[in-house]
Amino acid sequence: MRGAIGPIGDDIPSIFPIVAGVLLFMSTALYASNQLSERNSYLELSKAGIGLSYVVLSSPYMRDDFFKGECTQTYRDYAARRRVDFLITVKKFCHYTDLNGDIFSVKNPYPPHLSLDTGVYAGDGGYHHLGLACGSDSTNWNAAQAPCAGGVCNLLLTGKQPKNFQSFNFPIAVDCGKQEPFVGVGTLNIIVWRGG
Amino acid sequence: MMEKAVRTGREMTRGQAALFDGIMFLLFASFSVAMIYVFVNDYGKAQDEALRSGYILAYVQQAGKVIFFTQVKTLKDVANPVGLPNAGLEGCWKDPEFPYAAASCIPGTVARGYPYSDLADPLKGCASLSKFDLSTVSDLLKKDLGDGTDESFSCLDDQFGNPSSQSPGTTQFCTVHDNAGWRDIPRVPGKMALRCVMKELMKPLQTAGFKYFADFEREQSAGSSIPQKIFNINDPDSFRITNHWEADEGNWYSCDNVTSKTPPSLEYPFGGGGIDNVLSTSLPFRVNKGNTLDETMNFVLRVCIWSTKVSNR
Repeated sequence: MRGAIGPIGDDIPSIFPIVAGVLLFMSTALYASNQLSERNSYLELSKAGIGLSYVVLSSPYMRDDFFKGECTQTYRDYAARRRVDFLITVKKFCHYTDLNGDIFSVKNPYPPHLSLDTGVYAGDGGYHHLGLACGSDSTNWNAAQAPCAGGVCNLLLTGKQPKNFQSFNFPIAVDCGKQEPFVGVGTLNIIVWRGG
Repeated sequence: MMEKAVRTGREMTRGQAALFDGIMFLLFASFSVAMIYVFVNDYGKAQDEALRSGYILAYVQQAGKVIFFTQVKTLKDVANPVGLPNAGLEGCWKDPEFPYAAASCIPGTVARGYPYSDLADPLKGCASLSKFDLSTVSDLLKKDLGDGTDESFSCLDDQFGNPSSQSPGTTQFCTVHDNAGWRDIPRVPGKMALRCVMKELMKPLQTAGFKYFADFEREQSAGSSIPQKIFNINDPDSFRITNHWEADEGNWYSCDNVTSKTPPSLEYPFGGGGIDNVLSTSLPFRVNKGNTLDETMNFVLRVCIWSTKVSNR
């Protein structure tokens, strides 16, 4: 045992790289665990969102009464089983699709016959401008129809908007006519999130 | 003195050996860390890709189903939304992949590189659909396709039948109106209605950088698309149901042209698209032949979609 200076003195040089290696490995394992957890959560939310989309898209023509009935009977049940919060909005564009609007709103920013230059409402052309919305119970969505100003009726959604959500957009046929029924093009936004 | 030197040397050797062990441990730890990073980086990518493809396919299938319900009179403004900020510009959407210097687009007139430019034509474009008060897109399409006498050939030409003076060609298989001139032929803009509605339905995906192409093929013979006219920019009937300039000017008539890597030829001036990442979906589309109710032609409406690398915003 010549040259030995003691149990601690002999091993001191190796302690630093060993500690560094352990710290590196532990921190990487922790990082990897967080990343996997986050990605699993993302994928689970995606699967739930697409699953809900398939349920909602069972009918390519979304009649108002059908949507309201399915909202309470099917959509909420499905979302509850998948443990996700959701908001489904149907925008009735009917004559021109505008993608610049807020997906949390059902407002159609450009109803026909509304002069954007003057803001003067020049008749609704027989079109519906009010969309549809359906949300999960836990989100406390308070849907109330605001007064129609200048021909634009906006459904206000006054719930707390989620931070981390996923949205899925689909085309859909919707009721457009006010006096007489006719069917035009709209968009269906399905927004899902977890944990408020 | 000598003994001290020897002793110090032995101590250094033991210290180096211990340090070597530590460094080896650090190296193994670093290797493990690298492996973990590689695993984490790839984790979930395949699933994510599959989910995205599932979403895109669901979207395109939904678009295909919506045409059975949408009434064409609601499409009259889509290429020229009067009173809106985009009035006149909708028909002037330029394909960002058009490689040549594009002429300026004047609303209502056709121009190269602008696949929707003819849709804004006030007489033959989407505005002409306002005359068909009760018809849906599929109603007009079925009438437009239904004037064929042989499902191997396309009569998807925005009219029902041909005059008796029609020169032989693919359209000779369309219903012939005896003693009738071109002006007497009923206009049934089924193809125009499909192009107008697809422009609206595909708008979100187009904004995200996707291209689409739709064709009809025989149900009984998968992969055999019915031919379409040779492209002529002054002939609205020769435009394809697409937002891709090359599909129009390259005379594509099938989703197979999107994927094939054929070189340019007389038939296909730009060759095949050679695009690999194509998704497609099909819907059965059965049509009564002519004015009969007991004879059908069985078509399939196929929509294929692919992503470009060019932002369309």
